[in-house]
Amino acid sequence: MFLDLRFRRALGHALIALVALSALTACHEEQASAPDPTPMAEPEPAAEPDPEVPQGIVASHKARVKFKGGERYARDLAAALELPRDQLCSELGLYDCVGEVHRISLGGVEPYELGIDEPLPVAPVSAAIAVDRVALSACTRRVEADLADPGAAVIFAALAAADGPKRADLEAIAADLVDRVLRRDATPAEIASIADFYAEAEADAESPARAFGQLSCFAVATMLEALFY
Amino acid sequence: MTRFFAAMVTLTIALPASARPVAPSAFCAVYPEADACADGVALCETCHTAPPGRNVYGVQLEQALAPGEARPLTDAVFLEALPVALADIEALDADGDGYDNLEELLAGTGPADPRSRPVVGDCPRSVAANGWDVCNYDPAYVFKKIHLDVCGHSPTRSALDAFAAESDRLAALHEALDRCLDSEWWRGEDGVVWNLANRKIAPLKSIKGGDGAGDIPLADYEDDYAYFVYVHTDDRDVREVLTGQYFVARTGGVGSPTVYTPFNPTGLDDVNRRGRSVGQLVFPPFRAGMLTHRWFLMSQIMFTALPRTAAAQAYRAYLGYDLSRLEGLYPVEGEPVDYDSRGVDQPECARCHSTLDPLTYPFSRYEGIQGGTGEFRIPFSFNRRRLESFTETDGPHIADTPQDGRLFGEPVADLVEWARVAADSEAFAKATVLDYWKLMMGESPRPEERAEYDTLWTELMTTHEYRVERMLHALIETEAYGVP
Repeated sequence: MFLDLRFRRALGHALIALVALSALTACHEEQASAPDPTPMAEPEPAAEPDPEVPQGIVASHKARVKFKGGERYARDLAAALELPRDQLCSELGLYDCVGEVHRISLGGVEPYELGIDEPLPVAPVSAAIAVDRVALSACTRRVEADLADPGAAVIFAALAAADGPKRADLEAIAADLVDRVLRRDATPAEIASIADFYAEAEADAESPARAFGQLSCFAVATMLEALFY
Repeated sequence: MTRFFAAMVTLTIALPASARPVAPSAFCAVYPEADACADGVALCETCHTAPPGRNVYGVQLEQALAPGEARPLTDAVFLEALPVALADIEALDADGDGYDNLEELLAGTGPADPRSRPVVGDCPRSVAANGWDVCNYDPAYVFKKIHLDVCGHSPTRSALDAFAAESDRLAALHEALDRCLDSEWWRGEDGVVWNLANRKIAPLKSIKGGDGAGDIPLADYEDDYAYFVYVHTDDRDVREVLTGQYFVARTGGVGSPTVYTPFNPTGLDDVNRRGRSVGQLVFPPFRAGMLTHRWFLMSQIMFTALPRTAAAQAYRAYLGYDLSRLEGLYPVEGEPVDYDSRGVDQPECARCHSTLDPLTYPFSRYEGIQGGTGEFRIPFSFNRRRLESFTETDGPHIADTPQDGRLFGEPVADLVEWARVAADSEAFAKATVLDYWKLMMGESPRPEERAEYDTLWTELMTTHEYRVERMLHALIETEAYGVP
């Protein structure tokens, strides 16, 4: 799958987010991530072969891809992580990230008071930041809930093991995340990429299990495949 | 309000000379076989982004056009120079996609769009390994898109697996579409269809009446949204958006299915039943769908004698013609008469007002908020003698304004006939389908997709009997929607 390379980029993105955000506990804390200068909804002209597409993969000549938009993305993410939609992400713990605070950035409309009748024709740079915040908040909530009550955990029960997760546990988590978020089987390369990431988390994070859970989830949830269709 | 005044200013100022009414037909005289000339006049998008702004092909053409001549060019110089300039840039590649301009024009692809190219790329040896079948209609891809576009979420893994095991996957796609068309995401408050109406209704909360009323409650746009969703869903004739003589109430939603129920008040009983800030005041014989709803009359006619803004908005919202972009010009001989002494018969203004003013006359018997002088008149209602109240403010000739007018250059006796002619027109079918096309595809039809788009709006008028949902069942079978 050509998504593998994009997935690795997403993992890198996740690490950047880890450094940039002073706290990972919830979306409502102070925003600290740097703006991603790449506009989200601008498909690049396909005149030249995409170096990121592995050989043997034939890209669509149409290059017609749509951003899911905030609400579709939130609904998908809530279903994937088995979180109530209204608990996915709230700024300051009060205002829904998708339906209120970042509504317009994420492709929503507000015709009644703002006069925004249609989604913005090009997603603003803040859209990438907003997506990051939603994904990170949702993943954090799932991880915290699972670690707090491993018996009722949905995805990350193995991370609570006293002696740390086994390789097989990490691979199972990887497969589960891809299945839930992308709704397909993970490729061997994707599973290996995610499982390998645990070693990096062990080297860099105070709580490797927690960081691995948050960021492996974040990486899958912010893949192009999760955001566009 | 801001939108109203902006529209007024746009219509009143002289229009830019750099987008030429003569250009589309002159272009097609050179390239009659081009897809862009299927209607006899080139699409604005051939050379423009939003006229007078030019796309990359238009920029190349402008540079090749009569170099050295002073700008702006006269129409005569423009017409003489155009064939030469078009020939000069035929071998160039404006969008840099590897295909020269002439090749793209003849192939029906866009010379200014690098994503639109004449030759399809290679095809995958294994669709499974590739992910999607990028060379053919891919039912799995469509199944996913239907769920996201119409249901508002991705299909579940179990639904995807069940679909993959289907023996008749095309039938399963239509079943999925039917289910999604009944979802709240599609037909509920603030749903997909509801939001399609935003630009047509142009709501403004501060002057809303009814539930959640604003500071100055003048009318309730919820009537308009409910009506719009009602006629665009289920097995209903979408032309009633302009021709219906009833209203629609919305109930339910938030945990239960939204229910739309038509009702047909007569006289003032709606005011008595629902209140003075909401009641619909046009009597049934004078109703013309959403054009005579209280919100439209309030926000588009307001205080004006000759409500050009109302006509221009109806033309733009329901027929797809934006006069401020020189679209839909059908000049009428002897027009504009300038009944309201605004100076619209000046040559710079007459170019558009010879279409706009006769388009407007049928709206002139409908009351907005008030305006004019004299005794109180019932607002938001039909009043045959309305213009007699405007002679002090708009000059003595205003009362001579006829009620009959012209739409597409053809005579119409009043607004009810205006709406009927509009609803039966190709322009209405094209605009209706275009709304859904843009919704489902994320953009306007690409040049190579024009044939499928044309089939959809043609069949909306015939095979599909103006039922939007039937049209959508055809849309999901198009290559434009189904080939990844």
